[in-house]
Amino acid sequence: MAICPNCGTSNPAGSTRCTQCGQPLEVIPNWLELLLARYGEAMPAFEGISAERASAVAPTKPFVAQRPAPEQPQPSREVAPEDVELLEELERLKQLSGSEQPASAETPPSAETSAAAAPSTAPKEVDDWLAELRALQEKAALDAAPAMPSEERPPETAPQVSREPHPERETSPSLESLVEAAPTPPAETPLPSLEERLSALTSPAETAETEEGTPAQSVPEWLQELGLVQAEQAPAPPSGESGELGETLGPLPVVEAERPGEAGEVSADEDIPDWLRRLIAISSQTPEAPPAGEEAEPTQALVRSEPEAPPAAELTAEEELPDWLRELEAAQTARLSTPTAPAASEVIPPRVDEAAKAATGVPETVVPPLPQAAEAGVPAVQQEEGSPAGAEEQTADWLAELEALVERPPVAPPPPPPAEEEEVPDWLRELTAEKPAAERAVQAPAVPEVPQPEAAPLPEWVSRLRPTELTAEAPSVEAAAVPPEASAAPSGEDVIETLRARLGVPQVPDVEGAEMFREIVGEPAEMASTPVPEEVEMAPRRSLASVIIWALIFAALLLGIAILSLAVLTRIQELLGATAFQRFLNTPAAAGLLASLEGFRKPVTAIHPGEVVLLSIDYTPATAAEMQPLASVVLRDLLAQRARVLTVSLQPEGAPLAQQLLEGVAGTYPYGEATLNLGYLPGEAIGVRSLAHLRTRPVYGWPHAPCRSLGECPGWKDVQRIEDIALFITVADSAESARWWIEQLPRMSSGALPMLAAVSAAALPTMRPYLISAAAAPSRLTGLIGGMMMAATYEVYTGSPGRALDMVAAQSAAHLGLVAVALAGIFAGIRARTP
Amino acid sequence: MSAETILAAVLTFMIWSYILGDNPAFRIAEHILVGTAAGYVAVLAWGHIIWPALHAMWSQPSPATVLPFLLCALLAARPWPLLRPWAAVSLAFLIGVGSALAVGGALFGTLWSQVLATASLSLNPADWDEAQMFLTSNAFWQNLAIVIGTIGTFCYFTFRIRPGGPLRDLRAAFIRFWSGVGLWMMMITLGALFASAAMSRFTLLIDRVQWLLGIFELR
Repeated sequence: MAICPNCGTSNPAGSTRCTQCGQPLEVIPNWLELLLARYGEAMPAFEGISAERASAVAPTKPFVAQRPAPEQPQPSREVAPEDVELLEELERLKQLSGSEQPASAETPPSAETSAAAAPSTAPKEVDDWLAELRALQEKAALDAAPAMPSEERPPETAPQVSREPHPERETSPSLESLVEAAPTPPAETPLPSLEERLSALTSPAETAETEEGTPAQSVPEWLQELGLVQAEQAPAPPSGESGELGETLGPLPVVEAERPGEAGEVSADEDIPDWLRRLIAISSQTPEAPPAGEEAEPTQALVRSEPEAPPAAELTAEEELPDWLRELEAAQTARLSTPTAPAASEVIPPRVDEAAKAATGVPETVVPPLPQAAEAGVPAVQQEEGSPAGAEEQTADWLAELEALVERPPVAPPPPPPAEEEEVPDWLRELTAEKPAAERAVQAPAVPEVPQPEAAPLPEWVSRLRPTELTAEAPSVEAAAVPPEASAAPSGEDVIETLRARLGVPQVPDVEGAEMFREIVGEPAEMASTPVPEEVEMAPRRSLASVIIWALIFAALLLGIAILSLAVLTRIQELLGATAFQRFLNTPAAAGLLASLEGFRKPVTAIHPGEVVLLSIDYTPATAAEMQPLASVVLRDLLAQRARVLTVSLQPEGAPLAQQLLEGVAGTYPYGEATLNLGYLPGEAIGVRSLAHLRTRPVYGWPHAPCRSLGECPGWKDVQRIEDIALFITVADSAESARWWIEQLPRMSSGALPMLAAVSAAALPTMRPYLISAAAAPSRLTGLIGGMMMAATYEVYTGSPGRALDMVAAQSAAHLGLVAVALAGIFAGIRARTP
Repeated sequence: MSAETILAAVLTFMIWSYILGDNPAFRIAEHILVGTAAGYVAVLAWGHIIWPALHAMWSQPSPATVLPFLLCALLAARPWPLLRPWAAVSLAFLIGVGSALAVGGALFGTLWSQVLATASLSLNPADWDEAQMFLTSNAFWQNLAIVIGTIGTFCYFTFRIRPGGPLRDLRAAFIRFWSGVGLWMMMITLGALFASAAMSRFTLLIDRVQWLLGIFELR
């Protein structure tokens, strides 16, 4: 019975076309025809394989023409750059996950050990070791690939495998470990064993020597005659299990290349997870046809034997992908850390084949050749058995190529089942979505079972294709047994997905990072070509000339606005100027201002002539514009009361500002007689306390001052202590300075010194609680004024218009502007919150 | 127009050029300001603090004039390991005196007076002579606002522990309500502070613009 690869319909044996859809069940690629024509052989008759040409599958030129140099792995396949980078990423992830693997794989497992560790032939256990091998084969494939002789490697696969040089001898033990890991099936199974198939890859004589206990008649004649690709040519098993086995056994040696001697320990006692079964079934159901215009290598058909997958019912596994990924990774880590040692593993035990038989349960199974076994394991056997060296080399080469063909060529990724689509990361979905529709259409049909031709004797021309001469010219005859869809070259995304699934590499959670990585590695040339100019453009620096030009433009603009505002200012001056402000003070709305001012002036007016008032100038030039009018009006009011004013400052810059104030009124009130500047009091709060020695305080500006210290000044000898001060007033631009005075001065004056504060508008709200508390705590702050508006009120109230009154109009306009901005902000906020 | 007036105007424009972003003109003016202030402070410290003290020590030697210099010398000897323990004496003196003054002043000059002031507020109509004046008095509403704001702010900063007992729900509701009131009070207060600061800075701008207009005889 033959299953149509297109529609899955079961067709009678020997049918060449599907009775349902009419598609050819099997085709013989034209490369085979070319080979036949080259060697002058007639087309052999294959049962169940149609003789029509599959142009899309067959290669257009012989293998040897594309063979690269033996020591130089050359990329022979055009793979998308992003695919290559993704493969690199996967390889790196694999290396990270497999870092615990033993570095040296030279020690092959012994045949005895593996034989002792042969598990039972139960299908479940077979699935276990197969699952493990499957999970690890792709992982090891990437590492072992560079070491493969690239002579016979198909052009499509080279870029993915030729990265790390891997000694050939390292791959050989893996095969043996793999063999050891395989459960021993019954020997009487008619299915040709793996050893037989591997030995068939060598010369017939060597094969006969290599076989140990395996009946030679179990190998089909056509397989023995072919020699080169007997595994590929072996008829595929009719059931899906055989396809699973073939899919699993194909890359087994690659897996063991990195972990020699471990297979026998791990395969026997572990169960194959459902996800692996599902993956195997999926991968075997989805043979992909090559995209249009892309040539498929005949040897890729070896991989296409995977379509011979288990039934689709196995796909509906209930386990979720992350779980198995974690389990698989953990299991791999544990297994890889296990030391491996068996020696004498060059000999391939027959248990692999037996295990395969037991797993499949079919008499004849088309199993992909064990690539690394063909590459390394078989030559090793030949050496042990005294085979000619030249034959070994050639055999190893073509076997290595076969291995590469099986391993490297990206196996057509199985379309994820519906249950697994949720686990597929977004970047893989995007990659899948980017694939051409045509390619998808070709890859889409899944063939659960592919009818395989029965074993038949091959003609002599096939035997002449054996690798002892020109192995590269011998294309894999397996391609003939694979439907055209299965020979399709898979895309890089599919390869990545398949490798990821088989390696057990957990899906990268950082999807954005993966995308970014792909974007970065996808454009290396562009990024490297112009790095610096872009950075320079991103952060341009303005030159000095441009800055000056812009500054001048800004100044001109500002002056222009000011000039244009003159006309408006005149009107504003009339509306909001001194006259308007005076009218405002006569309204009840100004009662609060006047009340505060009267409270402030009450101690001032209570000063008797000649009494000393301590005025602290605690502001800096930065705030002098606001504080200077306030200090000036207070000073004038004090002097108008005929008080003597001593100025101090807790700010270093306050002393010269105080001197400036005093010199401003020196014409009316001579400095040194009515006023005197004691300068800066260092130490902040401690400086307040330093007034305890008021008599010794140095006078600011000495020797230009009239006296050195307060006690030495002629008109100030009566001022010896702080108790001689009748009133204290601080003009501060911050609440901090005023608080120092409020906290420290009452302790010095026994609470009898009244205190007033004239602060900035910014410090006014902070200082107001001290004013309110004055009722409960006498001798605290008894008067408080602040801001430009209060200074203007003070000037109006005292009848001495000054600088503050000139600024009232602008200040009022600024108030109105701020109110407008605040209202606009409120409405904007409400509108923004309104849905 | 004098040179210093022109220089002041140029420096003013250089500072204002920051509105276009950080630029060398602004940095030059900024560095001039900082350098001038630092130089002035250094000169001030020497001329008004250090030199008078030295003069007093030499002219009238006494413990009050010598001891400060001794402490200063110990503090300056801190880099030498042998004298480093003695430098701690000066530091202890400075920190101890400063902390004592600051704590004492804050406790009795700010905290205690504020508590007394708030506790002395009266919302009793009997404290007003006329009932009509009680409702129209600014002091009453001011006192009421202070009381509400104080309670609300204290409740906002209450460490909320899951209350127990039969009245835990009532207590939780009380705290929650007054916490909201305190939050709004603080928001209003901060808004008022910000508005006051903005007006204070507007005053500086107005003064500078008027000064510029004055030197260019534009007003």
